[in-house]
Amino acid sequence: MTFAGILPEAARNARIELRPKRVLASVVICAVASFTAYVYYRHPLSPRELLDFFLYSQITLLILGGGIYCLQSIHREKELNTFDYQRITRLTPLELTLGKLFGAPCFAYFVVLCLAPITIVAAYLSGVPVLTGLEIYLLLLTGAIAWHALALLISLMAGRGTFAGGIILLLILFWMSCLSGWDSGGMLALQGFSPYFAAQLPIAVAQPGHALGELPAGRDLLFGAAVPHGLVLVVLWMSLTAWFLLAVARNIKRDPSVYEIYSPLQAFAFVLYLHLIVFAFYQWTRVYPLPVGSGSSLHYDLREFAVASMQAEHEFLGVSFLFFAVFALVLLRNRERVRHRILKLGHGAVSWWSAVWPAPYLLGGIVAEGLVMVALIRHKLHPETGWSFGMAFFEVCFLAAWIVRDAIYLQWMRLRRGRRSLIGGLLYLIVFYVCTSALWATFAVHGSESVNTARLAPYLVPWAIFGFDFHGWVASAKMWIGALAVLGSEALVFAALQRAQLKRLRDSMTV
Amino acid sequence: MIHLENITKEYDAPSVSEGSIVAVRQLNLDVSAGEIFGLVGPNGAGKTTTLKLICGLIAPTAGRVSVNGIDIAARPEEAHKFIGYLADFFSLYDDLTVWEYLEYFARAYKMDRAAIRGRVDEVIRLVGLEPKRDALIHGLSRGMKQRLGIGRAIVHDPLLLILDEPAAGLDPKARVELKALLRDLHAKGKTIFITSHILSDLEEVCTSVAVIEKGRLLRAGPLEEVMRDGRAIRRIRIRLATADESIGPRLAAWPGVTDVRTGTTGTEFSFGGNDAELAELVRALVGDGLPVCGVQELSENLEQLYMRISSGEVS
Repeated sequence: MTFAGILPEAARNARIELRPKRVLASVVICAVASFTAYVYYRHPLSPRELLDFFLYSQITLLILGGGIYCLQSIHREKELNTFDYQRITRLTPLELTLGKLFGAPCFAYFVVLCLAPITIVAAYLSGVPVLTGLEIYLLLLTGAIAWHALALLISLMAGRGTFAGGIILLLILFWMSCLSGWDSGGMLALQGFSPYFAAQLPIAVAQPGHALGELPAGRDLLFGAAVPHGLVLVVLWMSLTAWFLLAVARNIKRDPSVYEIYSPLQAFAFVLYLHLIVFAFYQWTRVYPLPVGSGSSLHYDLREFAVASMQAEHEFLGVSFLFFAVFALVLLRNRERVRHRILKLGHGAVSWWSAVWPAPYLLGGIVAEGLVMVALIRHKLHPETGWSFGMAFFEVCFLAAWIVRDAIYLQWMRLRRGRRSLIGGLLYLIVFYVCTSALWATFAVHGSESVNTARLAPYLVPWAIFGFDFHGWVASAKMWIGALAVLGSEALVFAALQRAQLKRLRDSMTV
Repeated sequence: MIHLENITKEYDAPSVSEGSIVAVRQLNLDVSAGEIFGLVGPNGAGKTTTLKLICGLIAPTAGRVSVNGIDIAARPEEAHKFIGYLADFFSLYDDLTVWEYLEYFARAYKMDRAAIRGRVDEVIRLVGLEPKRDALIHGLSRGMKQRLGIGRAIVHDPLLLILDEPAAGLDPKARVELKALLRDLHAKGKTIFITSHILSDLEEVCTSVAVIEKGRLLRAGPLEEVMRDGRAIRRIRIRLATADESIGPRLAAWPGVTDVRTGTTGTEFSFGGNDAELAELVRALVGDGLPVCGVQELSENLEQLYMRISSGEVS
């Protein structure tokens, strides 16, 4: 990979996006907007508001505007039939990827550049230190690159006619990242992932001290030590960029029918990396309001307490479920890839071991993560009465069985003939869970003494595991163990169906 | 230059009831350097799939493709250095000028930077687009775009050109120019692998052809050989200096001769023998005192041959 290799694709985009007339029009519009805003905000409003306005605008323009350009870059090439020509050039996958990453959103970068002068003036008038200004732009740049890399990945993986879906997905993820943020009861001692933090940086660095229940201004707690949130974000953005680029670069020049976002080991490493982030920033103590006094003198004092073992466990399990569910989807093989496996491995590709895919990775990953979780809880907390290693391990096993069953089911569906077999499989799964939830809710409301709804929960709604506690274990241990056995049996049934599907595929092949 | 070894490409048919489609079935093909190789077949025969397999754009279900001795799956970037490709249904970057477009690909193929400017100008000249050098692509006619597409395929001076239906949509003049361009490139030592529905065009430029149908290779080899191989029974015309009606019965009585017809241009018949046996027949006729003044083997064009092969007349 060379700089000269990145250049052709970046230069092509720049030539298309930055034609002289377009550049001139953009400069004029930005100049007028800057002048108008400057006059308006000086009297009667403050330079601070001027700075905020332009910082928020630049972040939105660069991340969302540039993201949409990136989202369009590969998808549009595929629709125009120009992508094949790029795939057979001598550009390496990484050069092509980087060329698109920096080339596709070049117009958004240009507009941000046009708005930089007025932002610098506003920062100067607001008394923002030069270093803070540089930090703001570093955050903006690294955040934008991470979002653009994600958009590029979505663009590569999206099928024909799914551009609108891609935009919606990107907007939802962006909105979710803006929502996330630290609060006194939050799980992570991390001030969120919002790209708008760059605009809040001047305030964050100006705030001295912090109250109980609040993180130090502009800082996060990494393994309990305060570190600048800006630095954390830069490292996170850069590492996520690397993961996204890895996925794009390993697929961009491949035959689309054999796309594989990550190899199983890479995907596993990514999931472990995400878990590491959670463990690193996990907040082992929380601040809760404690009632003091009574009657008219009743008030609440904020007190810091260690997290209950059961709460910590359920939070880790929730995170684990989310990450491993996505991991399972990444691991699913399509028919074309299975054809190649059949040719390569022969009988081995239709064995029982192949039919339980992707269970081995999921089981290994979830159980390993569960053991780390239990060890951490034991080390960091003083487990309350009732919490035991055995019970926690059972919960981990139940979660693993649940994800494995659904993953094997989805893999079976993925191997079935049909245009969107995986989407169909996901829809059936959603319908199944909606129905079982409705059934369970009906029992809960209208159930008689003979139907103990709490005992039915493990069978109907596996997520009841997140509300599992010592009392539930004592009251209905047999039901939970029975539900675990049922999940395991269902997984085996889907494995048998998958094996039959694999055999059908092998028999239909001519070579 | 191109070596296809037991290539099979199989995928799912759009409809579940149709099962799998075998686009290419155990295809073995060798194309030597310096050839103009034509691939002939009906729609859906597997021509475009074969071309994409050679370029490494799609992965074969089984088999191996190498270009200039390089395995396309193992070392694609290296192999792509030798390949110039033009798809049947293609699009260009409408917002670039002709010069910018070619310069982009010259750089993407990692040509020597100092040589790019000269090479791009040379290619523009070669494909006859000098007047449009700085024009935006969206303003070009269909024929001009096709020529620009060929220009893109040759800009990095590849040893192998893969052209999928390059004459599609071109007017007669543009087709003549295209053929001249192909001959010119062939004279410069390029290997050209081409598909076309216009078989007369292929016959004019190709040195070798292959016939493919339903993913199977029915016939392949040098053009003359394929044309000759296709004819188990040849059609011969004999002209006499003076008319002699006895030639008909005499021919009909000769072993291997069938379908004798006498007309104004001479007597035509189908002959199942080889060249030596034909010489023997002519010698016998002359020996019998017939004034033979001309023997001509009636040629069959590629289109007729293709139709016969395709309809199963030729095994």
